[in-house]
Amino acid sequence: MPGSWRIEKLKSTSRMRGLVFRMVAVFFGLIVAGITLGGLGFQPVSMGVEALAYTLGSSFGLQDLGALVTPLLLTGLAAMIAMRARLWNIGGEGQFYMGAWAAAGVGIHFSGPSVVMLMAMFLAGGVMGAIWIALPAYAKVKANVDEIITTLFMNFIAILWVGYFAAGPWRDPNEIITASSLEIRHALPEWFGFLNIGIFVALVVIVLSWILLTKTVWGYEASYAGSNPDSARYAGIPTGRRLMTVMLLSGAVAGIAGMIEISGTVTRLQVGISSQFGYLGIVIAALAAGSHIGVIVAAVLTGILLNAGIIFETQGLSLNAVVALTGWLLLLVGVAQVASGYRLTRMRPAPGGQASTWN
Amino acid sequence: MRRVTKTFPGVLANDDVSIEFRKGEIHALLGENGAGKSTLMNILTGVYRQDSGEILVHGKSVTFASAADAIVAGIGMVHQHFKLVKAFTVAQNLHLGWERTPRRISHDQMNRSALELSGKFGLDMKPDACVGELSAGAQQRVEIVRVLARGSQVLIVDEPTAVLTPYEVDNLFRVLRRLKESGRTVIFISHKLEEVLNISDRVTVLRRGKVVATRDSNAMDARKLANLMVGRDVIFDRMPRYDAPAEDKYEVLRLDDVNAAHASGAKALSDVNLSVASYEILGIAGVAGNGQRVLTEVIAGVHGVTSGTISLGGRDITGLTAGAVAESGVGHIPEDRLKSGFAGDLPVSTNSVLRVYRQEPISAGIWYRHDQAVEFAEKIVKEADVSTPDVHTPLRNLSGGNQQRLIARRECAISDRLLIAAYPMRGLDVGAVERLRKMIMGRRDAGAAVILVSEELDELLEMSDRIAVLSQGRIVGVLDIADASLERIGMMMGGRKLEAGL
Ligand SMILES: Nc1ncnc2c1ncn2[C@@H]1O[C@H](COP(=O)(O)OP(=O)(O)OP(=O)(O)O)[C@@H](O)[C@H]1O
Ligand SMILES: [Mg+2]
Repeated sequence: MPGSWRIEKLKSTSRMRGLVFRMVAVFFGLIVAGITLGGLGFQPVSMGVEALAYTLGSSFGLQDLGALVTPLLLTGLAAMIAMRARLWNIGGEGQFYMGAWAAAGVGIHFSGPSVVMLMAMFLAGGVMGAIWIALPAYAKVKANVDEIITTLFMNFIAILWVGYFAAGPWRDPNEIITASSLEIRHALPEWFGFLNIGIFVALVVIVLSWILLTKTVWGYEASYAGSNPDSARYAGIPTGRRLMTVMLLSGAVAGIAGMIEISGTVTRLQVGISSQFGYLGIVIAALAAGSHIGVIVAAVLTGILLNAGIIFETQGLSLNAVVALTGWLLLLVGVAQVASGYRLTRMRPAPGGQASTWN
Repeated sequence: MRRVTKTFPGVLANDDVSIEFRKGEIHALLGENGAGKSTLMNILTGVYRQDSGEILVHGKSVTFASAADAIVAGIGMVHQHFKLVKAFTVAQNLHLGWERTPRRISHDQMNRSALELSGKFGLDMKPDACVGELSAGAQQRVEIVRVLARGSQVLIVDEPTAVLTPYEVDNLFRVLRRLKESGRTVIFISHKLEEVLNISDRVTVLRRGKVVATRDSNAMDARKLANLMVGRDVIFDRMPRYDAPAEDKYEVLRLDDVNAAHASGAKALSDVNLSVASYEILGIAGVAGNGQRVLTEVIAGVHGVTSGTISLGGRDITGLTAGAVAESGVGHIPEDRLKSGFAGDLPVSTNSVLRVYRQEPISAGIWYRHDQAVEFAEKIVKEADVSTPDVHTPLRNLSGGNQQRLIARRECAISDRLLIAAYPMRGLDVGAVERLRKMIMGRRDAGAAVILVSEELDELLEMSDRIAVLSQGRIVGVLDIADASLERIGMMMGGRKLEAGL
């Protein structure tokens, strides 16, 4: 095959190369999306500018954005914590729901001063998220059962579980249209009149996680154990315990995301409170490639995309088109990230092209 | 290869390298650790791509995008770490990923074709044996047939003798000579100068990525080669023996009736009794795979015992975790550095502090101090003469010998009481071997006990104070250095008890 093209894997790649690739991908993706929208009779440029101006330029827009970015920060962090130890937590969605469920339970069944209640709900959300990953984590550490599948399965159970409570024991009899729980009256306070305190909680959790993972002996052991369990055992690091704790932590963070959602943005437990936040978190973690700052950047970008999509929706673009658009951009960024590890080369043929010419 | 240059971030691995490999020759490649030998061969086999320069095959320029392309052009490599599937049979491994294997093939057909191949190249093997059960030498033969079967006219062997017993080395050399006679080209990488002189027709020496010289091997001797490699005279003198006064010696390590099993349940050690004193190097001789690995791991606390006791300085350490054993002053150079000694994807700094991260100043209480870790790593990188652009580089990017230097230094540094060294010289160049020998002797002279596992009897005889011979998980005898000889150890390695002869 004279002059054919081949894809070649690079042995080492720089951060800069990855960044450039991703930026080009976003640019390319937006152009294609714009042309498509233009073809459908929309005004892509003005729509885009308008959406951005609203999202970033008005307090309502920022409020909406904050409501989206908050859960994404935490679910992204949850997936990223696991990834740093070479583990997959696909169960962010389920842990999110269970965290919300536990927080709602506390809010519905107990009463007290709001500060105490919110703290109790926070705790309940985190603990429940951790409980929801405990079984997959234990199976992984003890018997090396693939956590990708087990954590995913737990999602389906969580959604059914929440659906049962929202439609059954906790149902608000006055709600006729959708099955949802009684209202949880303990809401996180707002700051500056429009930003929910939840986003600050999320940022604090990110900083704490950064300190824990990069500044402590525990973080050293956890990342070493994740990177090479055999060698960790040789060095006497309690490998199983560290990996187990990493998973529990990851689950707790996703659970906290659910708690904040139930006490900040929505006030009733129902199926659908997570707009795929758990799964988007995996995408965010993949984009962030192990960096805490990366999680923040990726969560904000994803939030902007989602919010712009919601605005497009109000302008007559169908929901499916919006989802497709968001997916398209995230897909391109992901592809770009992988692609930055490869390059294209033009082949010159080997003499004769066959081993037989040697003989 | 003409004017080949390859850089990695911060490293010039190959600098304007031109070498001509001729038909029907064995061409040796020599150079210090990190000189760029493996990188150059990875370029020749399409694993890496050169930044500039070209590869010419029969005078025609070629570009390889992958190892598969290089194989098509007739260039194949036997890597130091074999790439066979352990759970498959020899025949299955030979046919794996080979475009000439028919889509559907029966076991019988495969075995027959494997036999045919082994006959064609004159290399003995059992087609239906499981590769995991074969000795290193036998696995290597399978690798060679695998490469040759794909039509290779150029065979590259990267440090092939590091894992072989002397008998297996003789065998390998016979095979390589036969390949040469059939008109093929063999490129042979080794740090053992005697081997290079013995087997090669020509030798090319690399230093810091550059070709220093290509010479006829006949015109060379070990001293001249070492001189070319290092750029100055190397003195090959024997280490002075330093015998500590007897009253200073005390028992450091003691094994009483230790039994241990492999993960599969098979017996690995049977009733092992050993004792090592301070100021003493105990050599462990034996054909690889006779329990050396489990023996070292049991002492280091990495592997559990099924019965028996291990005590260190009179204290029972049986069942202690590996971390606790290390903290009581036991260093352990494992036999497979990348698999158990390091986390290859993490930076050199992280790997350097593996033994000391719980202690001041690398950590303070629960806090891990990254800047202190970097400082510590820079210190041991310097002391061990490890070549790396900086300590933030992933460990995997170091050359094989440089990884070995780092781990040896790291483990020596903590072995106040006992150093367990399994094949510590593997992959080191001549200069580094001398330095590590001094370092190990230095540990002994400072009063530590040393357990030295090696398949090189000469090395054991030169360094040890006593030699224990291991065969099928048993200690078949312990010799004082004064009574030890090559023949005697050789006989015992075959499993014969001490009483049996000589
Ligand atoms: N993938 C890589 N990324 C960055 N640097 C690398 C990589 N591979 C090798 N190097 C660097 O290139 C240099 C040459 O390495 P190479 O492995 O070719 O040495 P070598 O001659 O085979 O040494 P040894 O005898 O120790 O095996 C070393 O300094 C090494 O650190
Ligand atoms: Mg090498």
